[in-house]
Order: sequence, then structure tokens, then C-alpha cells
Amino acid sequence: MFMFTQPDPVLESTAGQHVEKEKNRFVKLLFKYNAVVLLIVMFIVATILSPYFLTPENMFNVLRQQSTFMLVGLGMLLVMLTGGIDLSVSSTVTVSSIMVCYCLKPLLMQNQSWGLLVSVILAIVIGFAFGCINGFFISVLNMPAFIVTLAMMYAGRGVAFIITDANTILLDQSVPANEVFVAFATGADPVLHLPYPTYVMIALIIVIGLVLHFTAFGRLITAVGSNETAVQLAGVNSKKYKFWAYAICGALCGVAGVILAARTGSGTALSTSVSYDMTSIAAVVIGGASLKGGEGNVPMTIVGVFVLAIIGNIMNLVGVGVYPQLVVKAVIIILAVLLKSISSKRVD
Amino acid sequence: MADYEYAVEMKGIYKAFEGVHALEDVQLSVKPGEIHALMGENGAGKSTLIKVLSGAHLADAGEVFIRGEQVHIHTTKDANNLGVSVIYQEFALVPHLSVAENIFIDEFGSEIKIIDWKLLHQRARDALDAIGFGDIDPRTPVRDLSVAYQQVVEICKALTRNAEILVLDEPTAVLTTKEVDKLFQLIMDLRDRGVAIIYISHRLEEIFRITNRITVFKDGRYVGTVETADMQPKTLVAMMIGRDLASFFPPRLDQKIGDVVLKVENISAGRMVKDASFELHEGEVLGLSGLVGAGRTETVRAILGVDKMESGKVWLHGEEVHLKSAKDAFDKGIGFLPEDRKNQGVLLKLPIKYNITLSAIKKVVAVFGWIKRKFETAFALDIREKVGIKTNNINNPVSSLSGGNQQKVAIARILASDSKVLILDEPTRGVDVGAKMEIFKLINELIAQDYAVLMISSEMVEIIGMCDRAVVFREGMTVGEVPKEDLTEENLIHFAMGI
Repeated sequence: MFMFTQPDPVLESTAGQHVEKEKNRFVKLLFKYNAVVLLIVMFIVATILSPYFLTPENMFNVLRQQSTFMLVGLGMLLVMLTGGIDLSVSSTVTVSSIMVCYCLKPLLMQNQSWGLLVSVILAIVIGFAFGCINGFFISVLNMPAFIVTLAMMYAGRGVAFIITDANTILLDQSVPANEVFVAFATGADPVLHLPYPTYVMIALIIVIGLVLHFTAFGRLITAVGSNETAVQLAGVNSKKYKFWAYAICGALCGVAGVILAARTGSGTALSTSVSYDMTSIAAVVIGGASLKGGEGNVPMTIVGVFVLAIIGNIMNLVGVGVYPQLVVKAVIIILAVLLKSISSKRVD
Repeated sequence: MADYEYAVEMKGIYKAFEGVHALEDVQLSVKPGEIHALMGENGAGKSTLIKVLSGAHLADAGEVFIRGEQVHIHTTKDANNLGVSVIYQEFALVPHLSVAENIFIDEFGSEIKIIDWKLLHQRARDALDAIGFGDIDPRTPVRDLSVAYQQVVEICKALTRNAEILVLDEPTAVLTTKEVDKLFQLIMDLRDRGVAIIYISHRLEEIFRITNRITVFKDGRYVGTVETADMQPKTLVAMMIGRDLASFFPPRLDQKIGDVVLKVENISAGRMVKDASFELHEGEVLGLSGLVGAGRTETVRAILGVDKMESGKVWLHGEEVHLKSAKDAFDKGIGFLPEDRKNQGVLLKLPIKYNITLSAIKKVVAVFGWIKRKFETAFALDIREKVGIKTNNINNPVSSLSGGNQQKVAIARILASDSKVLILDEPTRGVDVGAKMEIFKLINELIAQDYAVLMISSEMVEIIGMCDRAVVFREGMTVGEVPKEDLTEENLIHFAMGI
């Protein structure tokens, strides 16, 4: 029949239901932090599958490789918190990595004592400039982020090939400046034996984390993504925050580009085909962020980056081919996001 | 005639949203071949009942009979199959498709697999002819039609689905007088053919012109059903308002009305605002009254610079200002509470605390924008206390609160920023009676502290109960000012409807 009884307030607070509620809370937490569970499970599986996995060499290798992905992931988190997306990160990273090498070699800065420092700064500035262009079109001119950053992706790729003339700029490591530069990425500190890029990564994680979770700037970036109209009507200049999200994302890509150039000792336009864009979006989403904005945080993004990193690492160790790896990654991404969508339905 | 008296009969319908009763023991009976008006103030529950009938909402309890048989409507498709069609204010037409495609859109993919354009256009032409609108070309994209014709297409679409029960929700709100005449002719033709028509409108004149019977709702409850011929506008208004509401408004504390703080002159903006002027004094509540769509919200948005102001002047504390955005307004001490709480007023997913300090974030930060967390919590708790938000944890998301408390969070946000001139757009929309009273009490307290309040409300009772003066809008213009002693329904309706 078309009859539904009214909920009885007395029934609702019985002891049995209280236990049920506690249980629900646990399940809810599990769903909310599903990426952490995923990471732990994969860690255990990896340890069982390969004895080499937990060795310091392998761990440091993962850390070294992931520093670039982590920096791009942090930038992507900022952008996605505002409800946007940045498809141009791969191009930005590449242009920045080429910029370092171009300054050092064709521009001969490698022969100056200040050359390395200036090259690195210029590369980061280029990344920042890319971000500013994205931010300008998206926030000031109100254009869709998807389109603007897609266009910037092509522009960056083009610029990369133009500068390098489609060749690889290989740094001559007998020159002291270049030697120092490459040693920065390949070497490790004498005490803890951690790769230097890892320190850069940790420092930037801390800075972005503090900014996002403890300052008005971070608060308002999240608020803008949560509901831009409401934030505007509350008297907040939402455009400013959107602009800076893209600009900072660009600068972080710039830093990632410098690390990439140092690690390979070269700059090549072919790096544009490394999927920094999709990997970082996947990492941020696995970390619980929403494509609609307003959700996501730094710790969970770190988890997301390492979930993807460890899948790749373990499959390399047990000798799974590159192409099957892609399929496995796809399954993990779908799984993580599926859990999230199920859990948000439960909350509703 | 068939062996049933009513085309639609709804009995004992209950519906609550988040614990707030939208409908309580409501009933409605509509005969075939009659135009039945559904009346009540904004928020009386008319739309909710229609949504129950159309399958958009599921009732918590109650029975629905269509043509004498009990039915269970769970989806809009169920409703369509039973011959119920609702025509909403915002049409469900696809603007880029042609008239013919829109009329037969339900058949695509089921009856129509391969499109015979000639046949489709012919059928559309026949259907339009049958209701006397043969002059609409079925090939025209719907977006190129006037609003009135779009409505005709929508009705035509309903009729091709054999709608025997047609619901029209404020169909004339956007029509010109001539278009209204044509629409009424069509509605009366349909009535004569035995279609049961449920007609929702705020316009008394229309109700008396075309309807046979009237059912009145108030605050989600059924008041009564009457024959239109037996009623006078006055008696109908009395039925809608009830008499007990006057005692419902809390007493004003000591009040002294001061200088003019906000003055606007000859504002025009877009299609909705043509010529608006008024003055707001310190220590008073000025009401902006008028029908829904009279241009009050748009006027306020133009003043604040959220929408572009085409002409007109604004003075704040005697100085001419040109506000460019809500930020600009907040910086100059004007607080704005938007009408649409969930989409514009609060950030539902974020904590209550973050919402309260959103407009005044500068007050709780140290150097480098570092938020002083302890101070922020204390600050937010203090304002929560003043506004009376009922929650035990200000770190919970706003979505965990009832509508009334959500609205109080939005008000708390404005007060946190130290604005002394408050523009409140429909501050009690969608909140229950208890929360309404608390919000009114809060407004009275603010007035005693020399705030100035500009209140937009579509409920005349609120304007009469709360305001020291009211300015009435009609069609984008301020058409009258009513002082406190003359604030009555009759005076407000007189200006708002121009009769």
C-alpha cells in the first residue's frame, strides 16, 4: 500500500542500534580511507611477491622516481580542490626540464659560476609562467579549465620541440656545473642515504600541506571548489584563489622539471609523452579528491601517489610487462574510486 | 460519464524533508472537466503536493486515487502512464530541437526507430491544429519561440500523451496580457473536453477568471476547498493567511530610527529591473514586497554589483558608491544573505566553523595568512551563541543541520564580518515555524543595536509583521511605499498587483 509509518523516535535510540551505529562508523572510516588500506595491502603483497621489494636500494629508487610525480600531484591537488583540472602538466614539466639544459649548454651558462643557479631559477619561472597563463584564462576570462589546459598542453609540446629542434640536449658531465647538477639527483646524503630530490619533495609537501590546511589561502581554495557562487556572494574574490592554484601548480611542475633534467642529465621533448597529467589526476582521485572540487588533502594525495608507485614497482620487480601493467593500474584506479562512490552513497 | 466522481483524489498525504513537515494530512480532489486552483502563500506546500502527484517525490504516508482507483506513483513515468502531466515554470523542452521533435520526444527510441520526418511534422501539425495553434511551424527550433508558444508546445506534448490530468504551475508568470488570453482560451477548451486541470497561481484575478473550485493550503496543511463563485478576493485572502499569525511575531525591542544609511535612486539592470528607488534608515527594517519575479532580488544584486547596473545611483552613509562585487560590498560594511540557501548561502560540505568565518577570515589570521585555530573556534562559538545555532559541534558540516539552522549559519557569517547594513533576501524561506520566529527575534535584536535591515520577502504576513516600512515592486519598478501604520494585505496587494 501507499503507507509508510512515521519513524519512531523511541525505537531509534535502542542499545542494539547503538552498536550498529558504531559498526557503521567503522565501515564509514574504512571507506573514507580506502586508499590507506589499499596501500597497506599492496605493501604486504609486494613484500611477499619479491624479496627485493623492501631493500633500501629499491625503496630509495621508488622515492627518487616518485619525487617528480609527487610534486606534480601536489600541484594537481591545488587545482582540483578549486574544481578545476590541469592537463598541461606534462608539457610544463618537459619545457622546464629543457629550459635548464638549454641554459646550461647552448646558452653556455655551464661555464659561469652562477650559471647553474640561474638556469634552475629560470626553469622554475617558466613553469610558473605556464601556470599563470592557465590561471589567467581560467579565472579572469572565465574559460573552461579543460579546454585552456588542453591548449597549453599542445603549446608546451610544440615549444619543447621547437627549442630542442627535436633533438636531445645531453649535458656534458665533465663540466663541473653539470656534474654537480646530475649528482644532486643521482646522489644521496651521507647520513640517511636518502636521495636529495626526496628532501626537496618532503620540504614542498610540508610547505603545501601547511599552506593548505593552516592558512586562509588554503581554506579559501577549498571553499571556492566547494561552491564558487556562494563564496563570491560571501564577499571573497574567488578569481584570485583560482589563479594562484594554477600558478603554484605550474611552479611545482617547474621544480619537477628541474629534478627530471638532473636525473637524466638531459632535456628532451619526448618527456611530454610521460603521463604526468593522468598519473597525478589518478593519484589525487585515489586520495579521495572529487573532480567537482572542495574535497581532498595533502596526506591522502601522498598515499595516492605511492599506491600508483608501488603497483608499478612491484610489477617491474616480478617482471610483468609494461602493457599488462597499464591494465592492472586501471583496475586499481577504478577500484579505489568505486569504493569512494559507494561510500558517499552510503552517507547520503 | 464514467463511474467515478474525481479524476484525482489525494488523501492524508504526509511529506517531511529532514524532519521539517512540508505536508501534513493534506487532501485534494479534482473533478474531470474542471479547473481547480491550488492556492497558498509561498512555501504552503503546493509544489510539494504536485511533486508527489507527478512522482518526483514519494509521500511519507497517504493515498492517491486516479479515476477512482488507488494507484502508487513512484516515478514520473508512472504518472505519465496514468495520464498526469505537469507543466512546470521551467519547461522540460530541449531548446535546440524542433517543435515536432519535442512533442514526440518520448516516442524516440521506443515507437520511433527510423524517423519519417514528413509523418512526424504532419502529426505535430495536426496536434497543434487540434488545440488551435496551427500557426506554429513544427520545424522551428523551440528556442526561437516566444515563452508563451513554448508553453503551448509543452501542453501539446502533454496532450499527445493523452494527459487527462494537467497541472499548470504559475503558467502566466512570464506572459504578456495577450498571451495570457490565448492560453486561457486553450485551458478552457481543454476543460470543456473533460480534462481535469490543476492550476497554481498567485494572481487572484486569474483565479477568479477561470477556475471552478479552489483548494487552499497554509503551512503545509489543508485549509479548505470552496466554489470559486462563492468567494470574494477578501475572503479568499483571509483563508490563505489565517488570523492567528499576527501574534506570531516577537515584539520589537527599543528602537530609534536614525539617518539614511543606504539610498538608491532609479536603478535599472537587465530585463528585470526598470526603475527602483528607496531609502534605508539606521535602526529600521525596510521590507521589499511584491510578487515572485517582480525584480527585487535582481535590484539588490545590481546594487551590490553582482549583476551589472545599467543606470542609477547608490549612496552609502551619504557618499555615492559604485560597488563592483559582493566583496566590495562586504568591505564597505554591507552584508548580503542570498535567497537560495543551499546553492548560494552556505557551503554545505564544509564545517559550520569555516562557514561562520568565511566572510571575516581576515579577523582570525596572523601573519602569512596563518589561521589562529583556537581564536577562530572561540570567535565562531561566540557568534554561534549570539545567533543561536543548535549544534553540539561546530566542526560538523553544515549539511548536518536543519534548514533553519543552516540559515542561521548564513546569518552568522554576515554578522561575523561586522556589517551594519544587512540585506536579507528571503531570510525565512524553507525553514520551519520555530526557526522563523528565532530569526525574527534575532532581527529585532540587531535593530536594537542600530543595524539597518533590508528584508526581501514574498510572504506579505512577514512584511507586515516585521517591517517598519515596505516598498512594493511590480514588474521591475518600485510602485509604492507603505508606512508602518498602513501595512495591510490590501495595501500591499493593491500595489503588487496594480488593482
